[in-house]
Amino acid sequence: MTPEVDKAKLFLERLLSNPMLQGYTPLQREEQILQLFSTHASQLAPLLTSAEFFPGKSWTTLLPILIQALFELTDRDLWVTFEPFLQSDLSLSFLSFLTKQAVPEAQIRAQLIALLKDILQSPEGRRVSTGPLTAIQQGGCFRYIDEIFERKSYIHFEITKVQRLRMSKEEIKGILALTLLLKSAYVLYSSEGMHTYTDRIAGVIQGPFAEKVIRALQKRISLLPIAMIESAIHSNMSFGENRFIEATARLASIFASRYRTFRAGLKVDRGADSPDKSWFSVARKNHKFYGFDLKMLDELYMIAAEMGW
Amino acid sequence: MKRSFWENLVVGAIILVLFQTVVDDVASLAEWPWSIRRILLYLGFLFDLFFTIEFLVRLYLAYVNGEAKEYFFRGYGWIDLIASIPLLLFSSGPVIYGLLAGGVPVFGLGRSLNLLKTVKIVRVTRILRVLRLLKVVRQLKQTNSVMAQRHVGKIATSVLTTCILVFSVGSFLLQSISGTSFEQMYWDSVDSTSDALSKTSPTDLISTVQTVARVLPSLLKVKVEGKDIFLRYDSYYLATRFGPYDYFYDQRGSIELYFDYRPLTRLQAEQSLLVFLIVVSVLLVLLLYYAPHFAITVTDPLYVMLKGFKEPSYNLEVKIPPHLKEDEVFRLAEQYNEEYLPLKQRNLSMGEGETSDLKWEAVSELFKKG
Repeated sequence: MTPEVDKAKLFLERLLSNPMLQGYTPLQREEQILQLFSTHASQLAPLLTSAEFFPGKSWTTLLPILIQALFELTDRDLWVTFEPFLQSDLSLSFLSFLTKQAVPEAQIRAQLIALLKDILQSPEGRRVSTGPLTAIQQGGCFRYIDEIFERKSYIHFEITKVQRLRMSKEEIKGILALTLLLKSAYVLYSSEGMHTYTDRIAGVIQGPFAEKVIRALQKRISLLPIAMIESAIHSNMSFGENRFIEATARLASIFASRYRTFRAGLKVDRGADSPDKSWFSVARKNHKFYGFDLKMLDELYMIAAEMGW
Repeated sequence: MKRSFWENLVVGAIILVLFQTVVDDVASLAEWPWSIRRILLYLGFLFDLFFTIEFLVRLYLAYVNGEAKEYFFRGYGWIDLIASIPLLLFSSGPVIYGLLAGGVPVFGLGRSLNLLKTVKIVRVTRILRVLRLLKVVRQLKQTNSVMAQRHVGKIATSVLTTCILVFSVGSFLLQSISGTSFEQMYWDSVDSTSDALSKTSPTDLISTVQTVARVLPSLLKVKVEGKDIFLRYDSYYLATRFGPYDYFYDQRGSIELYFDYRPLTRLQAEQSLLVFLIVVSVLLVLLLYYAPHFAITVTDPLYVMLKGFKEPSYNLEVKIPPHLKEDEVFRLAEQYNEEYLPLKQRNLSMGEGETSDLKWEAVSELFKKG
């Protein structure tokens, strides 16, 4: 580690502790800082390259150092949560239901950790992982599963009857978590230049590319059932164009998008609707644009409205 | 915003002076001993002096800063004026002057047209003290909205000032033109008693005085050539219960008459308390009912929309109560919810208009601190 990276970390630590970033996950904070570097480069550059901070550096040479330091700080905070989550907290009991046989959980967990580390190697991988990993870390999406099972309405039907996942709601939560975790794995196989902000739209990948990614991932995480990989990769496809995609994929698609900008402990202003209700309401109006399942959004909106979420 | 020591002192003084006004009226109604009422009068004078000085200082400072007009018309300076100087000149000032002049009975000094007018003005202007409540109102922060505060402050000021002025001027005018008011009846009885006793022969005077005293409870004392011929109460009672302005003095030839003025004081205290109650009730309704209503129906939705326009990551919808959906504000809010937010969300998803939640001002602070 170079002294410059250490120095950059000191500066970034102070930036990251800004109260405006309270309630964000490490990846969200990272995105905020990168956004700041982008929008305020003209103000930051003369200050940071001054004699007081990084003398002799130009902004173009300093920026990669700052970004490297930022990634290291984010990883440090991120793995505090995801290391124990992947090693033990994430229940994989549903895998034996999917494979109809016993699965080597420890090896799968090791493969998942390695895969996530690979995804987070690239800036693009980090960016597209913000939503899904925030959804897992904040955990708010899992309470919807409780309500879905309580109501036994459209989403429940899609999960249990259409996708035929006749299992407990805790196991469905596990499937949803794993789907979210693997959702952004497609970046490992995508070519340079295809990455745009369209990752926030469900239809970012098309069928043939999805099949290619699924086959590649199947080789890489061979112990994981293919249904699980399909659910994760299909969550990047538009439901409007692909009516066959799994209910868990559709749910993961919605929650990854919702949690991309989610902020814990957000104060709801008087006169405003609750955060989830507002988000689902807006998402319903934009469902074609994002490729979401409108009926799912309707049900999630009703849940959020009734629960005051 | 944090209030200064001076502002806190003024608010404290307003609350105390309102308490003093109410206690003063209760003291008149309950005929408390003069010694207590005298203290209340001195307190009233000190408060009036304090608020007069406060007004003059504020006006001077505003003048020095070139903001005298702004202070007087928009900063409620006119309330400061009518709730200070007139009270000092026409209410507590004359009373304290009378007391300091060796207990010379300002009201019992004698009867003249000018004095009677002063008596009325003094009583009426006391009601203006209630206007000071408005000074507290403008210190209250009912909502976070500047608009709601100004709106409620404007309504409170106009409604309460109108109430108080209409009551003050109205009661003064009505009493002047009406011949049947309690006050008129009081003065008629005083006049007719004085006239009747001045025309009574000296031999019949004592018996006539006693007859009149039975039907006229306000007759306190009658003196002929310096000698008491009638005393309703003993000297101790008069000394402890009556102040200089509790009686009215009249002289017809060698006859001196003293009348109890307290019935009129009680009537005015009743009216003053009633006005105070009306003002406080209206104020409470405005603060506890109208201000939240205004916030919910006007400023809250506007605040949410304004925040949504300003902050890229703010995407909360405006809550639209079904029964208010036809209001212009909520029709605008519906457009915001249905059109603007989805469009904003789509633009953000395409990477347009994306900015960090970190404000540059906060970031630049890091550099200032080194």
